[in-house]
Amino acid sequence: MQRLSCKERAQDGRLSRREFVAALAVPIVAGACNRRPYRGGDFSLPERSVVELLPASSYDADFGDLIGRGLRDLGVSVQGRRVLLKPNMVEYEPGTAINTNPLVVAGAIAAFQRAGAAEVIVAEGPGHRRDTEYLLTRTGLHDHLCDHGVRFVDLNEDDVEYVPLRSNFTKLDRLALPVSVLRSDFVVSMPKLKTHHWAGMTAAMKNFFGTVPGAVYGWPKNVLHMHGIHNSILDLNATIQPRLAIVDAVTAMEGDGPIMGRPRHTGFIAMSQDVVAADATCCRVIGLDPERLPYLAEARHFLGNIDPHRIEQRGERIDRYAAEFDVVDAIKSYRLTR
Amino acid sequence: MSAETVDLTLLRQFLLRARNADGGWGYQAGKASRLEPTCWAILALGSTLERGALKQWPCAEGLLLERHGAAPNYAFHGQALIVLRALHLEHAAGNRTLLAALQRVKGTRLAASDINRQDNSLQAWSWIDGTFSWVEPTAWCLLAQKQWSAVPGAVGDRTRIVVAEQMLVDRCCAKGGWNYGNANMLGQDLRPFVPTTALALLSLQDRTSLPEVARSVAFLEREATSERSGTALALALMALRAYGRSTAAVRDALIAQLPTTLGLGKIASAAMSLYALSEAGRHAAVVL
Repeated sequence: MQRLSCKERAQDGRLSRREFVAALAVPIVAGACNRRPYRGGDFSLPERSVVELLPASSYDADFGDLIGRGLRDLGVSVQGRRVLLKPNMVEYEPGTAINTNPLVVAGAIAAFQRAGAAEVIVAEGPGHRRDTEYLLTRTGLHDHLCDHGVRFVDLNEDDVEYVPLRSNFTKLDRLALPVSVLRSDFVVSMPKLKTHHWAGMTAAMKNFFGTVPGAVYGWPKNVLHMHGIHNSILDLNATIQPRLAIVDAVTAMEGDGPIMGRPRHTGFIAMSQDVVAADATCCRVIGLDPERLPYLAEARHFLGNIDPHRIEQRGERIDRYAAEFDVVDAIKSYRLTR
Repeated sequence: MSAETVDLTLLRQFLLRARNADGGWGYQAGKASRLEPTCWAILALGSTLERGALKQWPCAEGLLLERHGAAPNYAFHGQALIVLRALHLEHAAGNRTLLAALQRVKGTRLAASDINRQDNSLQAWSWIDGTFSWVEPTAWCLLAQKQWSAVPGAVGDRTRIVVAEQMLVDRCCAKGGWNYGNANMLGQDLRPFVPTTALALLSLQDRTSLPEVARSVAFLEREATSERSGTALALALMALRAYGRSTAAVRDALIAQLPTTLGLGKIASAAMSLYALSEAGRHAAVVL
């Protein structure tokens, strides 16, 4: 029997969304058996990765001070660099934990400006709602941007360049990416920590779906789903090469994330120059096993560390925040066995 | 400032200043020309403007490209057809060619699924080739299709209209209005939004007897000013007017929003606002 690809079966009408999602990990498994779709020499795994957990019991914290402390502890230098902050801004609904809190973004702006960045910009291309004018004003982020004199770039509508993918799990070969991302010296992933009903968890790595321009690929960026969520996460991170993760886990989301879940207080900010290690740590905090999340299990081979022996935990201990987040049935197999 | 006395000069000047040397507009000043902001700016600025940029916009196989060298975006192709009709412009490839291409493309068919309650067999319009049908591209393309069906000599495909209407009805949220995509997922009802609802209503303005339309008009009347942006308010204003509802509150909200829209430099949003606030023509481009 002829074996059809996921995309071919979808176009043929024989693939349900659930089958689609179930199929997402297959190419990664195949990749593990065969030659991996990247040149090993293009990547170098850090011997050890530092992940810092900074306590923030509420959004009343001084995030400029807290993130500034994190930058110093991690030895991050942005003097004279163009810094692009990529928060997660999806939809707005009062009382939910969908988006990176604007106070955390504002704190990061202040910290990077104090650290001597030549320019700080905030950029996002929401995957669902096109209307960033509404999202910016309703979330309150617009006021913070005005206060700090920082411009916002709508990545869905930015000028784009086609760039070759540095890994090719999706088999897309190249992708249109916003010039604001490509021309930044220092891309910072600033996600909200959430469970994700397809990917397992969304944090620093999944956040880069928001860099894929909607005007080119449509909403909700179906192309990425059709080529595999996990594959897309890997290719985006390999190509963009983010320099830092600052994860808003003051209030996270559990249950049917990334939109319909419930807020869950967690009380910390996670920072790391290794986005893979940041995600692996967040995974463990919320009770998921990073080795069971396909994108993290593959990322460990070329993008960053997930092995706890290769992650140096600074600041607060994981135990302080460890919890078993409620998750939908589809991702219960990702749970950590404590 | 009252809606009646609002001076739209600033908006016009903003758009004229932002025009690129090639005659088109980017989403922001200084950015490369793109189809969507070019369509709305040309529509909003009216007949005094030279409109060659749209008439000569690059296309392949009858589909307008999202920008030079790119692939088509079906929603924006639908918008362009709406503007071409409204301004009585003829594209270099021929409007009939563009219309035939619109009728040819459709969203990918999905098999039945248990993750949401919807009819996956309905193939309306997707944003781009090879992906699923969504509310926004379907509504723009449906509106374009309906408008062109009324033009003498234009080719129409009644089947596509029927299926697109069925798809929108199927995706209508439980209490009225439209999300951008599904009405429910994993057992939870999803929320309707103002711009998607206004847009879907514009495309269904000849189907007022549908209960989904009645519920959605009620939602829009209730929530029109709850989402503050040039785009959301402009679409809401045009939809409420098309349904003969009061627009005073949403006009005032749109006028109040203008400094933010201009401050963010959003050209498509500013152009849509200008068109919605302009009284001349009474939004003929989006009215059936």
